[in-house]
Amino acid sequence: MDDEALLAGLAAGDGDVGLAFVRRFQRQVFGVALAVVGDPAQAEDVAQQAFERAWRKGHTFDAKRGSVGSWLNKIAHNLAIDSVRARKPSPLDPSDLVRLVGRSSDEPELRSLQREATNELREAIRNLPSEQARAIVMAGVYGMTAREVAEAEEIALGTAKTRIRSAMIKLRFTLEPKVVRGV
Amino acid sequence: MSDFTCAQVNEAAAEFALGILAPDERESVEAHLQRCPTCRLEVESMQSVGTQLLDLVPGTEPPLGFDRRVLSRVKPAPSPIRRRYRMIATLAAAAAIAVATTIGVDASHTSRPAPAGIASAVLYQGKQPVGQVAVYPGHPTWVGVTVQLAAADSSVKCEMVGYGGSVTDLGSFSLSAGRGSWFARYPKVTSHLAGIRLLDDKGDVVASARFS
Repeated sequence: MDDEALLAGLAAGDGDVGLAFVRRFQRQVFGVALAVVGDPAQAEDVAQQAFERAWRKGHTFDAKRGSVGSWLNKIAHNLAIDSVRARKPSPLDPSDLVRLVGRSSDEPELRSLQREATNELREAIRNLPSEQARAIVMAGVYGMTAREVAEAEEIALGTAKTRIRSAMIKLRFTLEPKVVRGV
Repeated sequence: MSDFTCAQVNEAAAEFALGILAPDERESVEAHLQRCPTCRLEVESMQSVGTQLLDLVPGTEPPLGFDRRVLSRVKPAPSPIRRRYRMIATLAAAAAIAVATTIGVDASHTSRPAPAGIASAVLYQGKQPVGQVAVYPGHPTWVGVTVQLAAADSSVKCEMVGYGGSVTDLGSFSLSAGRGSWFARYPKVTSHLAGIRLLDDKGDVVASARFS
């Protein structure tokens, strides 16, 4: 069954389909929660909340705006950030996360096009100046504000803002040709 | 909250897309986006990068049993009444088999939900289902009752009511935390049975069932 069919089954309250949905996405949801929150018990709570929200909001999912996986990631990400009241770097050092994110996954991807874009993004992150890579991971994954990045890195606020913006522009450029081609 | 120019929105686009802008700045950007399709495209492309960045976060296997725990949160639990009623129905069925075995009736006939000749009805307290009664015609006829009333230790009198208005006392039975389950012998012929009622020690009817 494809992702959207599984989501529809979950939203409809089908127990078997719901279980399949959870099993398909639990690694990525828990992974995002753990990356932000750091503590496995708290991450499990966040991940469970994310699936609960997906069940309740499943009927609002709009395929035109992206994939089910990305939608679910966003839900988990928002919940994880909310659950970390003071947004400090998690026990996972931003540099470690940069390394993990930049490493090619050995998980089989469903579509080769997706794999291609993902690996190019990984490569783009590997090619970022390390201070920009840390900034984008802190902002994009940990949900830290520019001010919090500035405090963590002991730099000026303007510098933090510039690092975040520069990193995003470089990463976007990597993906842009795909967007233009309509892929 | 002041209006942002396109230049200001461009500056803030990355932070806006990542959801890390302060609320007042976020509102200024949102207000500008409402009337500027160019900046909307800019912000959307940034948001796309943010989404794909999240996709790169490595997956991690959650603790064992995670999927079961999610499902128990997600599947709605049966409502208290329905759960009680299912338990009552199961109790009545189990009791029926036990009784049938005791009095020598072939249990395979009574294990089906509503075999011919067995009358069953829901016990109501007002409009609320609180239990079930089943009449097993035979020699003698047995009447099985299961009930769940408000939690209290008390006793109820059980009466059989006939169409002509005749009332037959089936005995008194104790409730533990409001719950009771019993079988009573009904010595008379089972035609023209209207229903069953339970009365408290003051003689007031607390629950009743009507046979169709």
